[in-house]
Amino acid sequence: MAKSAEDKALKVKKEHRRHPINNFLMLAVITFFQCYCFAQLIVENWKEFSVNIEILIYAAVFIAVEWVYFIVMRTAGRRKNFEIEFIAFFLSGVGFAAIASAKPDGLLVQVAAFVIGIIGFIVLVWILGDSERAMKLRLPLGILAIVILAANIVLGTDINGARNWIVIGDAISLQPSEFVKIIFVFVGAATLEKLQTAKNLYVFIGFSAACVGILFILRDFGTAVIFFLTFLLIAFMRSGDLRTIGLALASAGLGGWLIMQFKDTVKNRFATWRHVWDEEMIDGKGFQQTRVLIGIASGGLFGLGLGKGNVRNVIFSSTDLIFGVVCEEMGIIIGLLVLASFVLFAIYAINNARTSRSAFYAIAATAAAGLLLFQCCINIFGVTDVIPFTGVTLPFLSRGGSSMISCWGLLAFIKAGDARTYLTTYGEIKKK
Amino acid sequence: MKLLLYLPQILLSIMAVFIIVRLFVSLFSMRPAGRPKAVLINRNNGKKLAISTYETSIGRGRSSDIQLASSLASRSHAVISRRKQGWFITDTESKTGTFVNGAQINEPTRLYHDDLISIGGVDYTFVAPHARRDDAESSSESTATATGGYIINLATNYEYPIKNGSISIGRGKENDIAIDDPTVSRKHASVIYTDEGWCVVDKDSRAGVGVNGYKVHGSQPIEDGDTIMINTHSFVFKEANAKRKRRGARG
Amino acid sequence: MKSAANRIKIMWVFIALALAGTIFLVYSMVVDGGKWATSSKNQHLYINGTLIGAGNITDADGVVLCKTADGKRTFAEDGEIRRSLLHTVGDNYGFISSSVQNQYRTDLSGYNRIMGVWELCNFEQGSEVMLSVKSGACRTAYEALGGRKGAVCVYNYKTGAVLVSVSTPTYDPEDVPDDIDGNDEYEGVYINRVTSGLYPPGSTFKVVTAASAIDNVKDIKTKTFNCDGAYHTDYGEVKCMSVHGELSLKTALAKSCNSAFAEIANETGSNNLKKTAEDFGYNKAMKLGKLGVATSKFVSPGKDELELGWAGIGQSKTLVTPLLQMQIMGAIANDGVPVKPYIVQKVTTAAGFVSETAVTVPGSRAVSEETASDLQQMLRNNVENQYGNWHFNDGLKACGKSGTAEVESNETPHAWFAGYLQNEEYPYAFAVIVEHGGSGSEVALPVAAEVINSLTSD
Repeated sequence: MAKSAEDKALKVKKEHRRHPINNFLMLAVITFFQCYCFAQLIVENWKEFSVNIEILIYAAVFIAVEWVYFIVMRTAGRRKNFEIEFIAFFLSGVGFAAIASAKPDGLLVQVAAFVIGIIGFIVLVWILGDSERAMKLRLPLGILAIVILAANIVLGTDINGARNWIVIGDAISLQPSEFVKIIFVFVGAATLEKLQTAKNLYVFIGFSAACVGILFILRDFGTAVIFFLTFLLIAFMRSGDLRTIGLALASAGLGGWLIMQFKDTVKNRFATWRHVWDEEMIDGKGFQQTRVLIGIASGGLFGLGLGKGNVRNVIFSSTDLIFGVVCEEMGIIIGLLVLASFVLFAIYAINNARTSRSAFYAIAATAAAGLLLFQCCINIFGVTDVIPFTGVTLPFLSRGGSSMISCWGLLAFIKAGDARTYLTTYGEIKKK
Repeated sequence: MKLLLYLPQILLSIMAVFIIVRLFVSLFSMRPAGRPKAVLINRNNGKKLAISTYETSIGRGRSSDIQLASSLASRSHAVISRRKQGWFITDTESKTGTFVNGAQINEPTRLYHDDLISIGGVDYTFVAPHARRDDAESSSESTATATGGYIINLATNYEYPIKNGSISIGRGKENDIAIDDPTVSRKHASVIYTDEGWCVVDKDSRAGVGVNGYKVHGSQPIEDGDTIMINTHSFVFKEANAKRKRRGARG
Repeated sequence: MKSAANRIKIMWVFIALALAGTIFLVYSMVVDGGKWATSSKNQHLYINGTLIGAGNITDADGVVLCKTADGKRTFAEDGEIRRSLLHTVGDNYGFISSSVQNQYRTDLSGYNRIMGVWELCNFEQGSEVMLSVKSGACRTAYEALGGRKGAVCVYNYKTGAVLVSVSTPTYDPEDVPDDIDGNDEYEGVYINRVTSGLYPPGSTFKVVTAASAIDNVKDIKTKTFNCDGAYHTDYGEVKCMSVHGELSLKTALAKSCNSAFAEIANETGSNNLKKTAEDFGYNKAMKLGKLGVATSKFVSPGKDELELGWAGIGQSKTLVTPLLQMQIMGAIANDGVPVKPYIVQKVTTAAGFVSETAVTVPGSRAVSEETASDLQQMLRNNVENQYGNWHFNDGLKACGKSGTAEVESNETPHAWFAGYLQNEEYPYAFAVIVEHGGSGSEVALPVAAEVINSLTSD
C-alpha cells in the first residue's frame, strides 16, 4: 500500500507539469501583449494627439471588456475553461491593433461589435446548453434566414460591387449574410435520431441551395463560396455519403462555369490570378495583392512595428487586406499564428466530437470551425495570390461590426461542442 | 549595438507564440469529458451491450454503435440518447418498430432503470441505476445505496466511507473529511455520484484540486484508484465492487 | 455517435489543404520575397523612383568600391580601380548583368529574409557587401594589360577567395564613353571575360593531357617521344613550332612540343582525355557565388586521330574560361582537390548582422594526389628551366604553363599564362589571357608576373 502510494506520488509529480493554464495569468499575458501593441502605435504617432486619445480610450474599453467577461464567467458563471475565448481575444486584439494603425476612426464600431459579440456568445452558449431547445429553434431560424436574405435583395444597397448591405438610417449598415452564417450552421446540425431519417438531408440541401443562390444574386461571390464549402462539409458529416458530395460538386462545377461565362467580375478575378506582377496588372487589378506581398516581404519575420507599414494606406486595408497590415507591421509569424488559431479551432472541434453530448454539437462545432477556417483561408490566400482574390473579410480581425458579431456567434458552437463547458451544471444538479 | 533595437519587435512575436502554444497545449492536455453509462442486457442470452455515449444508435447496419444480429431489425433501428432530463429512446423509421415495456413508440420516449426494450423480436433490459423511475421526481436514497465507495488519506491511511453518494473535503469541521491546514479552503472539494458516474467537484477552492496530476476544471469524472490531490494532501478513491479495469486514454 | 464522430474526420482534409496553402505561401516568400520587397512599388525602398539607401560595396581591405551619397550611386574614388573592377562591381544601368551590384540587389537595397526592410526603415541604409578582391592588385592588373583586350584572375587555392578579377576592354562607370556602342575598341565591353569569355586553351591544355596520360598510360614517365616538326596521321598532321628531337613527358611539357602531345593524346585515348577534362571542370556548370559563369567545353574527338591530336594540344573545339583555367591550376596546387572560388566575402546588414559569409567549399577531386604531385614537379620545372624564375619575386616558387592559342589563321593567336605559387604564405593560383597577344610566355607571363609580384610585395 505504502509502496504504491509512493509510486503514485512520483507519477503525480511528473504529470503535474502539463496542468492546464492559470487563466488569470494567461489573460494578464494577453493584456500585456495588447497593451504592448497599442503602446507601440501611440509612440509611433505621438504627434497626433487626438488620434492617440481615441486609440487609448477604445483600447482601454476593449481590455476592460475582456476582464469583465472573464471575471463574470469565472464567478457567476462558475466556468473554468477559457482557452477558446482567449484565442478569440488574441485574434480580436491583433485585429484591433491593425485597425488602429490603418483606420483609427473604425475603432468605435469595432469595440461596440466586440461587446455585442461577446453578449451574443454568452446567450448562444446558454441556448445550446439544451439540445432539445436548440433543435426546436431550427425551423423558425431557417425561415428567418431566407427572409433576411430575400429582404436583402429588395432593400439592399450596393457597396463595392456587392449588394450585400442593408443601410438603416445614416449610422447603421448591416451585412445580413454575416448573421445567416450562424443560422446556416444551426440548421445544418442535427441530433443523431434526426440524422437517421433521410428526409432531413434534402431539406438542408434545399435550404443551402436557396442561401447560395441568393448570395449569387447579391453578387457576394466570396460568401457564396464559403457557404458552399460549409455545405459540402455538413452534407458529408450528416450522410457520410460521397455520392451526395459528388452530385453537389458536379452541379456547382456547372454553375461555376456558367457564372464564369456571364459574370465578368468573377472571370476577371481568375484572369488576374498568378499574374499580379504583370506590367498591366501591378497598378490595376493586382494592385491590392502586390501591395500585400510587398508588405509581407518588407515585414520579415517580426514586422516593422505598428504604424510603420505602407499596406495600411492601401484601400480596404482595414477589411480585406488586414492580413497584409498584420504581416507588415507585426511580422509573418503573428500572421501565420492567426491562421494557426483557426486550424486550432478545427482540431479542437474534431477532438471533442467523440465525447460530444449529441451529433448536433459535434456537427455544429465542426461546421462552425470549418466555416471560420474557410473564410480565413480564402482571405489570406486570396490577398497573397495563392488563390483568386475574393473580397472576404478575415474573421475576428477585419474591421466590420456584422462580421465581428457573427464570428463570436460561430465561436459559441465551438464552445458548446465541448461537453466540459456544461459539466459543472450537470454535476451540480444531481448533488441537490 | 544596433541590433538591440530589434528586440522589442521580436518580443511581440515571442509573446504571441507563447500565448497560442500555451493555449494549444492547455486545450489538448485536459482530460476528456466524462461519458454517460448504461447497459442493455439481452434477455435471451444474458449478453451485455454497453452504452457509453450520449447518443447511441442501434441497428443491423455496420455504422450502428450497437450492432444487432437479428434480421428483423432495420439497418438503423433506434437511437438511445442521454438528454438533460434523462434517458430517451427514439425509433428511427424502423420497419418492425421499437417497443418499450410492451408498447410501440412513435416519439422519443423516456427510459428508466429496468425498462424492457424490444427491438426486432429480441428483448433487452435497460440498466441504468441512477435513472430509476422514482428518481425522476426527486433525488432519492436509492442512488446512494446503489453505489458506494471510500476514500483513503494517503498520509494517515485512514479510510472514509462515502455515504449517500457524496463526501465533502475541506478545512471546516462540518466536512466529512476535515483537514486542519490553512492552505485548504473551508469548503474545498467534494466527491459525488452523478449521471456520469463518480465525479470530483472543485468547490471554487483557492488552491484548486488535482486528479492524477491534472488540475480539475469545475468537476471531473474519476475512477477507481484515481488520486485526488489537495495541495500537499493526497487521497485515493476506491469504488465498492470495482473491477480492476481502467479507462485507457486520459488525453 | 461512432459513425458521426468518424465522419467529422473529413475536416482533416480541409485542414491539410489549409496547411498546403500555408506551405506554398511560406515557400514563395522564401523564394520570391526578395523580388517582392525590391519591387519598384515598395515605398519603403523607393521615394519617387529612387532608392533611398543602397549599401556599400567594398574590397577585402574595406576600400569603398560603390556607395550611395545624396540619393546617387557613386563608385570608387580612383578612376583606374573603377575601370578595373567594373565587371565585378557593376554599373548603374544594369548593362553588366552578372555583377555584384545586380545579383546582390536585394541585399544592397536593405532586404533580408529575417528582418524584411526593418533595418532600412530604421537606419536608412542597406546591407554592405564586402568582396574578396584587392582593389590595388586589380588596378595593377588593369595597368599591366595596357589597353589590350583580355582577362586576369587570381585566387587563393586554399580558401577560394578571388583576389583579382579584371576584364578588358572596360570603361569608367561614372563617365560612360559616348561611342561605347559603335567603337571597335569597346567590342564586348559588357562581358566579364573572366567568367564569360570562352577561349581555346591552346598549350595550357597540355597540363590536362599530361594528367590524363599519367593516369592512363603505364610507362609514360619512362617513355620518350621523337619530334620531327609534326605529328603524322593518315589524314594530315599536327604541326610543331620547331623540331625538338627526342623528348620525355617532362621536357615535352617544358618545350610545349605539339607533336609529342598529339602522340600522347592518341596513346591516352579520347575517352580518357574527356574524362580527365571533365574531372577538372570542363562540361560542368560553374558558379561564382550568385554570379553566373559560362560552361567550358570539351568535345570528344572520337576515333579521329588527327582531331584527337589537336584536342591534346588544346585546339580543336575545346573552349575554356579564364576562371576555370585558374581553378585547374588551383586543383593541381592543392594536391588534386579544386577549391571553389568565391568573390563575395560577406554581407553585413545595417544593424551589423552578418547575413551571408563566404565559406571554403572543396570541389570533387580532379586528380589523385600522386598525379598532382607529378604535375607540380613538371610545372615547377617549366618556370625554373624554361620561363625563368626571375619573372617572379624571390622565394615564391612559381609554377605554370604558357599557351599560345591559335585562332583564325590570319590573326595573331591569344596569349595564355596559367599557374600558381608553391608558397604557404601566398597560395595563389592565376590565369591571364591577352586576346591576340601572340606568344604566351612573352606576352601573358609578364602580365601575370607583374600582378603576382604586386600581390606578394606588401
